[in-house]
Amino acid sequence: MSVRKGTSIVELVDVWKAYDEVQALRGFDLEIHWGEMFGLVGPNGAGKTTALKIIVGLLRMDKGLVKVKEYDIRKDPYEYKRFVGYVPEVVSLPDYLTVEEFLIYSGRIRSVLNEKTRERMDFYLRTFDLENKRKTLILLLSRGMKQKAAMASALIHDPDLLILDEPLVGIDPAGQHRIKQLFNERMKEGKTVFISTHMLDTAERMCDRVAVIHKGRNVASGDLKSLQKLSETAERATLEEVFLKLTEESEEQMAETPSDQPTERRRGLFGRFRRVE
Amino acid sequence: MGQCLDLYKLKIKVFLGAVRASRASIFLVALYFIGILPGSIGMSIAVANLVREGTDLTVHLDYLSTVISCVVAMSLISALRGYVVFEYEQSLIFTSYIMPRSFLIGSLLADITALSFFFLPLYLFLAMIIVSLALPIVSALVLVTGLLLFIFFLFLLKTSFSILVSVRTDSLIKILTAIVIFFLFLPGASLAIPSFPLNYGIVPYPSTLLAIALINALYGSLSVQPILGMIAFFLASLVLFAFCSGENLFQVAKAVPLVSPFDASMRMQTVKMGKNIRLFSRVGLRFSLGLGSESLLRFLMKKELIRMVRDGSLFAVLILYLIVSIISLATRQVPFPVWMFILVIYSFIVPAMLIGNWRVSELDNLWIPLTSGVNLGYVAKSLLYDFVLIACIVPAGMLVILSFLGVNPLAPLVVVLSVSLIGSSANLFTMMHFLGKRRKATPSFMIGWVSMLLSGLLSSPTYIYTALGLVLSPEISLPFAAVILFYSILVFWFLSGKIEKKAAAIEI
Repeated sequence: MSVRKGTSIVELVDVWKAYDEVQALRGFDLEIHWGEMFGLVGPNGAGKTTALKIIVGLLRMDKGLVKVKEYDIRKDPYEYKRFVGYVPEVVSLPDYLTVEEFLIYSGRIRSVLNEKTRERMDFYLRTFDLENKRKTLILLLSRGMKQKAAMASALIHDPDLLILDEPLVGIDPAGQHRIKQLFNERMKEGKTVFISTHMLDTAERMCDRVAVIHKGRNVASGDLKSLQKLSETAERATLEEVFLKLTEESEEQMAETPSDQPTERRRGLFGRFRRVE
Repeated sequence: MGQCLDLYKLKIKVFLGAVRASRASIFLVALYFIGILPGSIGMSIAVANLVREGTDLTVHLDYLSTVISCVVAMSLISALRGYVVFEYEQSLIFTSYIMPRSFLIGSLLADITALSFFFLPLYLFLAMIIVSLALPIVSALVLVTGLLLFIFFLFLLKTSFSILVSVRTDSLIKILTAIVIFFLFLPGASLAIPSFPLNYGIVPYPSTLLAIALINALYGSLSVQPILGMIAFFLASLVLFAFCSGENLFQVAKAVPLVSPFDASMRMQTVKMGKNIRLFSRVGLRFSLGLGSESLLRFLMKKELIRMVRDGSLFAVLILYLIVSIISLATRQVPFPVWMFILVIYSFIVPAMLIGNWRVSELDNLWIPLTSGVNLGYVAKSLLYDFVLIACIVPAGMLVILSFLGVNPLAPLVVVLSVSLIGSSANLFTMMHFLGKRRKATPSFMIGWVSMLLSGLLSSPTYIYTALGLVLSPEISLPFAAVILFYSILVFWFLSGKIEKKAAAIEI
């Protein structure tokens, strides 16, 4: 496959999303490059999961542009998913299937050839130490094992872009090590890994570049050095220190300019909020 | 005692919390009482009339004793699981400074209170009997005391046995339980074999004592012996409980999630579904999903069928049809159209049930197809075909069997096909509608009712056809059947298009 280092595989421009009365994303911008490990960091409720869900097609944005590879996901909501693998933060899997059946199902709905499914299934079951759970019902797996099964499912079609929401939560240290190795191997192949996390030390150690999201806005993005420079913190400042500085500044800025939403929300019939463009 | 009381209060709060957790739960509780009240009132009037007419109820002593023995046996069987607590009890109470005995006493009282809540109509039943028969105060007291003693005896026995099952690793208690149950039912053999030397009238079982006390009290006569016997059984169970409650059950109790029968939330339904999967997957694992060369649509249909086998949906459907078959075969004198109607009704209850189960199993897993690139409308289509298949095949098979008994199956087959097509599509359409924005939290049973209402309305031409089928000649009936079939296909086609559109717009 062609590696286009430096060019963008994901692009979000002025993305807005609201849930009833809560504005989750407010003009969120993001650019992720081919072959990099990118981290989206932010406090709880900052809009990380919403941004991820919009990219993978689980949510529709209210306004904005999202491009994955060359696809505008609003115009072509299906084709781009062939190149994307996703694991949510809270993994829910079909409890009534065995691990093997679940991976077969994942392969079929992603149009993977049977031989490839078999080959990759064997590989990932070995990689994630699930070989002896092959015929076990998912219902009987532990949380960490379910997370690994979901990871294997997200990789079964060998996607160019792997999107993971809090990927290491609930996984044992050996499993975490294997996953990190896997990410590195994928990046060597020119594939992209995009993780969302609030564990800043993980993001600092694993990611080439990070974006800091705060109250639905991209406060800053880049590698650690550029973020240190931007936040005017010391050269040895950790991502945690940079993050705290940037989010504090953003908080102050937002207090000064609060009215920036593109939509007005009015209470309509039966007390429901209606959005008025 | 203070700890017992605190624990009692906590458990009652948890119980009431689950009962009034949502508007749906309150609605279900109300429905339970409304549903059971007419039966209680009717029963009390019937019993009072029997006593007033001078019917000798003592002749039914064996039957009543058998029923009460069944209750005792059921509680003993449930004790075979060992001592079971809710997860919150294990993590919150077991880790606190509390003695097992205090926990057991608090729990026992709370469990009896919770049970009394469900038996509120029974109190009405008792009150109505006492008032309508103008029973003397002593008889009324015997009625109430007898029942209370029995309830306490039952709970103490069940708790003690479950502790013993948990504590002892050998199967001695299980064997003992089996022996007790055997002897409990042994006098019941006299119901089938009149010459059997043993009957409930001559054995001083708790079930017999309660039955005698109740019957005597209804006639206003006071017999001390059964009450004394019941007190003796109560005291014996209390001693057993005192002995067993000294064990450290905190280390051996089994924790299960808190599930209230009236909790209609998705979380609870998912827990219940997990239990079903554990149970049915033993058989369901014989059918597996492999790498095949079939089309994606067939693959998805197969996957859904496997789900239905493993989560027990298909089993429930078969049981429903089995009941209908047994009723229809057992009551051949009932006119054919009557049971046809029953069959038709089941034909749209079945899709409603299947779709409700699909929602519980699959709502949280929708992210998998949604992020895979497959159109969710395609998944919905596979589901629809499966539901039509299941709603059609079983009753159609039954009709073919009936055709050998001299019934012309053509017209009934048209009806079953029509109702299955309409029922499946209308139910799935309603479900997809409720999966849209802001409506995801709607309880399954409410969606089920809306969908059954829609199915019923859309199927009304089919019912008219069924009703007219009785009076129309075959020459007229046949073209009418063709029209009905055409109408059903039209509805199915229209709704399946809508389903695909609604499915494709789902956000989670």
